Amino acid sequence: MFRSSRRRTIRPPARPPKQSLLIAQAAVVPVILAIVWFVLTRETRLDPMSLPQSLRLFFTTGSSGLTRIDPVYLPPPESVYNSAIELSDVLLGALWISMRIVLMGLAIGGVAGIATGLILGYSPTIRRYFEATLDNLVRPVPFIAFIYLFILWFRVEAVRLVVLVAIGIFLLLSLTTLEAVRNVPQIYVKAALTAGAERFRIYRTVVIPAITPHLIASVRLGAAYAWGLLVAAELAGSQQGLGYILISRVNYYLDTSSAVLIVFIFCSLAVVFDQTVRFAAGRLTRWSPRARRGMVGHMLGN
Amino acid sequence: MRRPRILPSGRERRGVQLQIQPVTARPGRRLAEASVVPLISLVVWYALTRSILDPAILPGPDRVLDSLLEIIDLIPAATWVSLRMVLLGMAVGSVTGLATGIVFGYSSFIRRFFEATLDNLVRPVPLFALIPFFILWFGVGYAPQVSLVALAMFLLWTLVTLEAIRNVPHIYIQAALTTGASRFHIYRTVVVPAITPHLVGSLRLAAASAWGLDAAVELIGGSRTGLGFILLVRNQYLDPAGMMMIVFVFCTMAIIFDQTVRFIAAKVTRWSPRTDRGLVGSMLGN
Repeated sequence: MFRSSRRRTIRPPARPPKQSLLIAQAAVVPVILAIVWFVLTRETRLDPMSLPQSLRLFFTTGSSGLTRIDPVYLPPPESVYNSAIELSDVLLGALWISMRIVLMGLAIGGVAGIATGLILGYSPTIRRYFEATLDNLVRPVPFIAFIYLFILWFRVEAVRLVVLVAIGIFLLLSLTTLEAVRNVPQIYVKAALTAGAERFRIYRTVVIPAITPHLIASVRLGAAYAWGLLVAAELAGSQQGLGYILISRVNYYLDTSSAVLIVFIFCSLAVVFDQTVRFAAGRLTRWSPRARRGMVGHMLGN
Repeated sequence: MRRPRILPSGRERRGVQLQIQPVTARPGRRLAEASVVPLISLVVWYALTRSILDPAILPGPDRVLDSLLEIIDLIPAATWVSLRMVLLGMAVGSVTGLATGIVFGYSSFIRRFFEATLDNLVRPVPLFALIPFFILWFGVGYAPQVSLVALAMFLLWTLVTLEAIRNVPHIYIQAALTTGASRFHIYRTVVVPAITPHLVGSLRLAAASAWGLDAAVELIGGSRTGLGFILLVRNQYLDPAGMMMIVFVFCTMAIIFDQTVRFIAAKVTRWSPRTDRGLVGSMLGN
């Protein structure tokens, strides 16, 4: 400890770096990735998949070993763009179908899950009967494994997908809500008790506002999870929706550029969803101490 | 308008008798109470399949057991294949993810380049959408499952570690700075121990999502030997009892995983303040 006191002093930076610099730095990695993608799919390139063979060829025969990545494995950006133009009508319809299912599943599962979590948090009797089952037996279960059974049980495809998404979201949110209620700082409840509030009142005016930031974080997680569940369910057997188009394009036509396009659509949808929730969350939870992030980093002097 | 009362009325005074009761009931009783719901579900399931539901849609527990006995020879090998894929993917992804998260937490410079991409562009991506590509790139076998699980674990652990480092209480760092510790020293002796409980807590999430991903890839056709493949075969035979049995094997494996993780977590984080749970409930008098 004394030895280390010779090291440089640690103080927080005078002011945060400029916003434009931060944006530029954040953009470096995506831009590099895009360039790498573009370069890799040009006509003659060194194929990283067969790099060992190419090297062997180079050393034994002196051949340059320049090949081209098979566009089936990694379609070039322009063919992705072409398939975007080609498929735009189909994709818009499928997008709307998928989006509706996610939103419905999220709404049903979210409301039911948060309500259940709040009830579980309020009543120890209900908790004693249900919590262990939910937490130990139901929570770790991989729901995706039920897809084929769901196909059997729910003949209408939209219903099946909504049910699957809703169950997943329900479990996630009920357990995270309960966890959030458990983690409400003791001091809040003590203060409210000191002020003479009764149980239900404390729950309504102290506990529920206190868990809101956690709940929003869980909804954010849930939105990503809902997209994931939907994609998996659509991939594993459906007749419409984005996931169906993705898997059928790959399986029947080996048309991976459309598949890349659909993956991009999924990604951008998820990003838009996520940013929306984040924006809303930032507004709603401005008071929360978690909003002051990055403190440790600042104090550690970087 | 309601006037705030200073003295509690009779009814409220009764409500305000909020003492901290010992929540620890006898373990035998707790177990009995906890097993009520699963037992009732089992009975309802059995009764439903005996009476109104077509066993070709929802087979009863007796049929599921029958089909388990029927193809019991196939199960251990397939389970082992799936288990190995999950474990390997988890190991690779978790180690790299933890290391990345710790490096990110340490250096704000690296963070400025990579964090926005990871957090805003990569994290929300539904990894399931990549399944067809992983099967295409890595071929049917072990590789697509292992690599997808590893990718998911990498992302999860990177972000969880970073978030945990961000949430290290201020006061710990201040105390360490006061005693003159250097940055690396603080990181090693304060930050890393402080994030351990959060990390162990996230291990449950990680285990569950690893099984989910493995199941999804196998069901979309990434494997010719695992549990998911047997399920697909049972689906071809129109054998719902067999399918259900495989689903139960998946669930059992995931539950065993989860219990193991919980056991480890309870051992490792006994000192953490998060372990005294349920206090709000007990303070609220229930």
